[in-house]
Amino acid sequence: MSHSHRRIADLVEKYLEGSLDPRGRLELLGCLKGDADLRRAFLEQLDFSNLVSELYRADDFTMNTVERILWTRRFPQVPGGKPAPRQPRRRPASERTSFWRGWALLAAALLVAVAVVVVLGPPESGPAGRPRASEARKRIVRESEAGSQEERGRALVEAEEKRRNAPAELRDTRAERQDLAGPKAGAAEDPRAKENRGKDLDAHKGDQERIEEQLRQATRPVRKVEGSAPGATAREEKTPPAPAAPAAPSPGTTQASVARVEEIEGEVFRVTKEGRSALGAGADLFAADGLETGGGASRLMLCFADRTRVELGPETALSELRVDPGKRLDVARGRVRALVAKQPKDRPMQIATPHSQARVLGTTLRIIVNPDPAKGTRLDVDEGKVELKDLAGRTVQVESGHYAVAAAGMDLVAKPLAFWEGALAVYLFNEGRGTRIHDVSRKGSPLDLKIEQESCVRWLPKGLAIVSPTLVASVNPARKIVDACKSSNELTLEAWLRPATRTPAGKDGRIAVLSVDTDNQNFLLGQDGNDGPPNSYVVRFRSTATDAVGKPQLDSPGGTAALRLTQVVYSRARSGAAVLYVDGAEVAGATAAGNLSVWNDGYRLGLGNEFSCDRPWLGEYRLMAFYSRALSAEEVREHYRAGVE
Amino acid sequence: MKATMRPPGAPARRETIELLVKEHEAYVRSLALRLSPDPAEADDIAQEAFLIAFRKLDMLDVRRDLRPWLAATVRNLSHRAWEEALRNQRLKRDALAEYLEILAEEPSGLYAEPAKAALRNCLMKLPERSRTLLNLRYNMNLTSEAIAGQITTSAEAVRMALVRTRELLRACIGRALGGAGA
Repeated sequence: MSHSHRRIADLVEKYLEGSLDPRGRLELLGCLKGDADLRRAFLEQLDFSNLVSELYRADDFTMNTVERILWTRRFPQVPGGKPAPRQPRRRPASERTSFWRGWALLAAALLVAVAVVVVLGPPESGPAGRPRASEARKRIVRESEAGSQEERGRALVEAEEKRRNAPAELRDTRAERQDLAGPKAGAAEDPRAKENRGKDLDAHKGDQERIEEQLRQATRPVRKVEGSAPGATAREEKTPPAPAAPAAPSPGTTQASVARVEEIEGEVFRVTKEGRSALGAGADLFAADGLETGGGASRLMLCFADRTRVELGPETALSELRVDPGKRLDVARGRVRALVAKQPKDRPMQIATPHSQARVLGTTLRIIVNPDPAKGTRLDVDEGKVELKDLAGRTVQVESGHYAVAAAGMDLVAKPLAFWEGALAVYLFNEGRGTRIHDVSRKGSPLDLKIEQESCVRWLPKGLAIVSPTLVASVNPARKIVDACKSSNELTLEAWLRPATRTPAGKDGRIAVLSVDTDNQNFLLGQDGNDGPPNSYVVRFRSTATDAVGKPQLDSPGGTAALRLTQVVYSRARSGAAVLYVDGAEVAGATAAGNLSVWNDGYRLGLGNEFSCDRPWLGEYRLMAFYSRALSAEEVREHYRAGVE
Repeated sequence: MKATMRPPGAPARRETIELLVKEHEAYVRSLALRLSPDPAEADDIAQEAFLIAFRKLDMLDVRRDLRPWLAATVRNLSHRAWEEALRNQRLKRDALAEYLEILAEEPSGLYAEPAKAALRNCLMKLPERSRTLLNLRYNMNLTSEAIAGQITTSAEAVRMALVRTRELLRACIGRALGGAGA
């Protein structure tokens, strides 16, 4: 192989494994553009590499795909998705000067204040000299009469409240701006103080923009209903007196926005009488709007004016959005998660499904609506209290940490949630057969595990025993764990296990790893670490303050690893506080400084061995759970008390 | 192997889904590898295409429409992945990828069943060391750097060995198929 061919082959190989850097990509491009034979050979390499890959991984791909398809049908998920991208609102720093910043700030403040007064007008009738303001106010009053009076009234009150608060906030920001504008005449300024002042001014500008945005929202509570004459503005409309309680506004009327789309992912639609239309982030939602999400990772987050947030998972249909007299969501199918701000006692938020109705005064809850009446509606309450009523008229109070199911032929009772609810990935090892261990967390895409050699394991009534060395690992990188932990800078790993030996063969046995080999790990939980005391558990947790394997490690005291069912928990908080618990009791602690930005996105989750297959651990798994937050000592004790029996 | 049509309105059973995925996955993955901004995303795109297809299965004649439909979906998903990659600055404007996108049309016939069967046989004839290398690369999904760490050689040597091993396999498949197809 000549040097040039060798070089090209090297570039192609790097491209195929995804490690070709930008300079290499340019070099490869140059080669491909100048040589037709090479182009053909390159594409053949791509196809052939895929063919070889398929031979090794086709079963994984097939099974994973089939499982995902079936899973999506059974349990539409609510993945922790990314927010929709937002347009940058600030100009680059190079375009701004401190002089302009100061004046722009003042001008913006004045403009916004004037705009608010002009558009909304004072609470009382304005003077004759301000016809536009009075016209705008009349328009809002007309709209509130034309549609749902109470709803628009509340929108007006909120807008009015924001308007009332705006001058005070603007006064404060103006005063702060003057303080920040510079040192008093004649006073010499410390360079550090000047630098800090610049930073404060930037932060101040951010506050100013936030206030402006709030005011813009306050002045934007109306839209023209689809179907009205194009070109006509809301201000110019002459809305006839509305009927007493119209089901939907007639064309030509205006309607107040009741909520706004905050985030979207995948396919999200607004459903109205006119049909279905795609929705984008930032879109206003109106009373009687229906919403639908597509499958896969589709989701939508909407926010009401009182900051009640509702998330629709994939394949969810919300047939109607109402706010009169209280908020009401009619969920036809799918998965809804709601973080409900405190609601007025006489106007609780209602979530209606084909099988039930939930009355909410302020809480965090999840609702899963299955079209099958026998499976019905499941309500999980994370915080607060929710009253659930089924079709037979029976009611049950569902408190924090409990769930209830309203379904045909089932008793309507509240039951405690499993302690692992809310975890990112959970394995119960109750499959009983086969080579696949399911992630039952219902968070994001399931991160199932595959047993490499079935002959090395034994299924137990409630667990899995590894009886000779093998690896149990996720087929794909554990992105959902990595992404969530990187974002929170926290992790809790909870294992319920029974070691088979006091000291694993060769020591340093791997109970759970997120790694690629012995030299590259995001974290590991093991038994009898190389440098640790005998019969102990060990955790290595990588951060910007550790090496590539997460050293210095945290060991439990010698003798804590015993041949009995044991709960082992490691939690690491954003502050760096790391604690190792055994059977609910704290046995070791340290400060694991730094953040998780160095975590590798491509590592897979493995149990029972290292990916290099040279750190076997033998024993029984009863439960493994991974959380993207640090559990408190009390929560760990509660989990221990709850047990896995 | 062709999947049979299921009665209208009946939910697809696991076996049917599995058959359909198996029938088309090589083609879909091959196309995704050509079109995606990052080879590492190709399998995700291929899987997503299947998910979307199975949600809309009622609208498709699986014997006639599924492959073109999957191809179009892979193209759309790849396009979206491109937009996402560029928006997140994960990829700057990448002339190579744009060029490849132009080149990438239909994948070759290498996904056909005879080629796969021949490959299985040829794989058995490889020396142990080459099989280990392919296992680490394609089964364990390790990079050449990681493989180099395991078998104590340089990453470049690993890449060259992989190229040579694939060339051996291609020649073997060519012989098995009578000089056609590979």
